[in-house]
Amino acid sequence: MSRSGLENAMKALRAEAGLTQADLAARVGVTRKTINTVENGVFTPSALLALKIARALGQPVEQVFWLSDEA
Amino acid sequence: MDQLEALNARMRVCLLCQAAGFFAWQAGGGVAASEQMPASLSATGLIVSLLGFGLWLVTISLYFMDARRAYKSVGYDVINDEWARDVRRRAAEAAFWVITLCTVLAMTLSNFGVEGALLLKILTGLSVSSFFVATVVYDRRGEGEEDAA
Repeated sequence: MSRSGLENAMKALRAEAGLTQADLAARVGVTRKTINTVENGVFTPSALLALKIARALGQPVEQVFWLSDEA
Repeated sequence: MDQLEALNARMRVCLLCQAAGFFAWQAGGGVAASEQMPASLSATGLIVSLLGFGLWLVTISLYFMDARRAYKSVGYDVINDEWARDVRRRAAEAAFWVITLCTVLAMTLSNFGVEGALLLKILTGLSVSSFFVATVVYDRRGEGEEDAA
């Protein structure tokens, strides 16, 4: 469980889309480090960044991010 | 590791050197100028201060050269993304506590007759350096190879 209370399926969805962290970072317009930290629950993204990530993965945001207590 | 991450790693080394250099510059200068310190420490303080200033000057120049390279390669919005801003915010927060603690310490020690200028130099050096160190510590939390869990 993430310390922030926010879970994500970025890794699986990214693999499904055939994207590396660097590819996704380029699509979103951030560094790979940002994608890495969000993916691993180190950093909680803003709503704007979460929406951009979801869009880059071609998924609705709730399929990519959800609250821990909803799992 | 791509070019941006290599630059980022080098900038972190530069930040640590800046922290060490700035602290040595200020603390060494404070010791050299202090009337409370033994005269034998004056020359050592001056040498430490000059070396610290040199290290700080070189590494701050290298830091901005690398920052310019990173800016030119991917643009400002990418190098100043959410994670980068979060690292700076957390580092500033950590440095704030160090500054508060140093101020309390300075006020306390000055009551025991320790020279104000010496305290100011040492504790200001420590406070500023703490921001650089905290930036490196927080930024390192973002390290991780592709797909690391």
